[in-house]
Amino acid sequence: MIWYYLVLAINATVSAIFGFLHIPLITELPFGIDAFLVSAVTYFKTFLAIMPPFGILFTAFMIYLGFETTMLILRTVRIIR
Amino acid sequence: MFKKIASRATIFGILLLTSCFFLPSHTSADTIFSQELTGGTYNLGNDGAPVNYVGSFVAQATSTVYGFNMNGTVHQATPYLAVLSVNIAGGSGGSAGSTCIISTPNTFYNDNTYVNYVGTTTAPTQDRCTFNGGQTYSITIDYNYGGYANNYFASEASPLPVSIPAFEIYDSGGPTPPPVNTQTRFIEIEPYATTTASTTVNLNAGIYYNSVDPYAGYFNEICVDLYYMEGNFTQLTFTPYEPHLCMPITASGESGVSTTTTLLSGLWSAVWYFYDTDDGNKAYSTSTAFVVVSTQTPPEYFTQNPDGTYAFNVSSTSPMYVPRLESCNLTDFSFADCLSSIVGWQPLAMNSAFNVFLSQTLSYFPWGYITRTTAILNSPATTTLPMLEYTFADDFPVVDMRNVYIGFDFWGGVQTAWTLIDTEIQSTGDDPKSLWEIVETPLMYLVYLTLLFVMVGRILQIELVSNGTQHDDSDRLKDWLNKNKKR
Repeated sequence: MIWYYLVLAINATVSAIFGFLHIPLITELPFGIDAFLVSAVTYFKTFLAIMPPFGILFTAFMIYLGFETTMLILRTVRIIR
Repeated sequence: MFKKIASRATIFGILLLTSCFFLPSHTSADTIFSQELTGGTYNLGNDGAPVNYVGSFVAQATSTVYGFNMNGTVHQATPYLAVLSVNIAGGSGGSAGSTCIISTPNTFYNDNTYVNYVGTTTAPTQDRCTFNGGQTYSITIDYNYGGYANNYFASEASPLPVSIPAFEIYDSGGPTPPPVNTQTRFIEIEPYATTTASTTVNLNAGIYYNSVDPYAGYFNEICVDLYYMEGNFTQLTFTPYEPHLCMPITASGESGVSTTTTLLSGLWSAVWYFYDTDDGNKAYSTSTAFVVVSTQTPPEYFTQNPDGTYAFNVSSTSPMYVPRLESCNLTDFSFADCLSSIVGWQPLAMNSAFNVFLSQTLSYFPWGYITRTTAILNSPATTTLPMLEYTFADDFPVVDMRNVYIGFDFWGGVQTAWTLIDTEIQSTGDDPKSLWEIVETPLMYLVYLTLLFVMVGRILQIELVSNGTQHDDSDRLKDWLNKNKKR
């Protein structure tokens, strides 16, 4: 219970401060990006569902992108070259 | 290579996203509505344009008949839910001859329309009808768009021997109906949460099964796992009940499954799920907790309502479930329970708290953009991929082509083709497998082994940098050769 109320207390405090400062609550992305992204993601997930082999290739591609990004970061901080 | 892949991925992404802008998002612009029911075809107009059909039906049974049933199909681009009120008049004798008004919420779906009413033979009230056999009645159905109500099981309660070859139906002129969720899911389950049941428990589930759903089209059974719960609300133990109860899915669209079992009195939880017997996959589970009461002493987890029924104080399956701190009271003090309720990690409560945290604190500017983006990307929602379609203009030079609609459902073709690979084409033998089941594993090995080799190859090209001075093997070799040359 202590963790439960701790999280709620943090949430209430942050909400009170941010509300007082009139910091906006983001419910959707601006410039029509929200609807665009929602439709794009739903289309893409439908495509993955009706064509599972593409899902395998896409997953592998994402893993490779993550690997290359990690390499790029290590190269940037001069751990490797 | 990375730049090349990144640039190509960017181009692909731009093309994909651009296509989302320019391709039409609907395959049909109108909410044309028509309905076919047993005994005739009836057309409903759009909003505010009632189309009346006046008809009659002949009750085929004696005056003890007290229900009716209509089955049909609603053809509509976007199905909807409706609440119906039904007026039956005509005939002679019984309440139907005067003012028999049935006002009961029902559901319409784009498949298997059910309009059901089941009453009793006791004194008829405004919402109960009796029919005399051989008499002719007319029926008026008034539908209004609204939400779902818990009357699904009425359709399962008894046989409905009255046929309705014709009736009157009209549009009440309501607003444009909202689309119905055609996702495979549980509509409702019984026993309901926090209700009581006798030791002979009827387990019923109203489901919507979308057989063409690419995610859920493979499930073929509805199963329910029962758990006997012991302990208190801060520390429950679940004892599974054997055997598991499974029922086959017999129809696409809305249907119901039911079974009966005998349970000990006490606190039970029922977990329902769709089950794929081929792969063992489970999905869409939902659960209720209910109390089985017999003549024995009732369990300690519920209290008795004023009407004599039993109910939980707090639903242990509720996402807002918060453990009770009563064990810390001096009058009912329990050190272990008190400590557990104070510092113990309560998954359900913490899940609820984190959801609140996510929806409020993490939704403020600027990280709210990240939260929203993540929510969109994590959404499992899918939609029908758009068709390529075109309608020739009124003044098109070729007269025969004016207003002609042409459409090309590319993605529908892809899905059909994939169905062939995934289910239709099967190997012969004792354990037939589809083409995709045969190819999937080798393809995964091929792709991921290729990826592994590429990554290992890239790692082998790495040169470590240490102490700010860059060395490689060639530098070390030159140093070693120079030293040995001097000797």
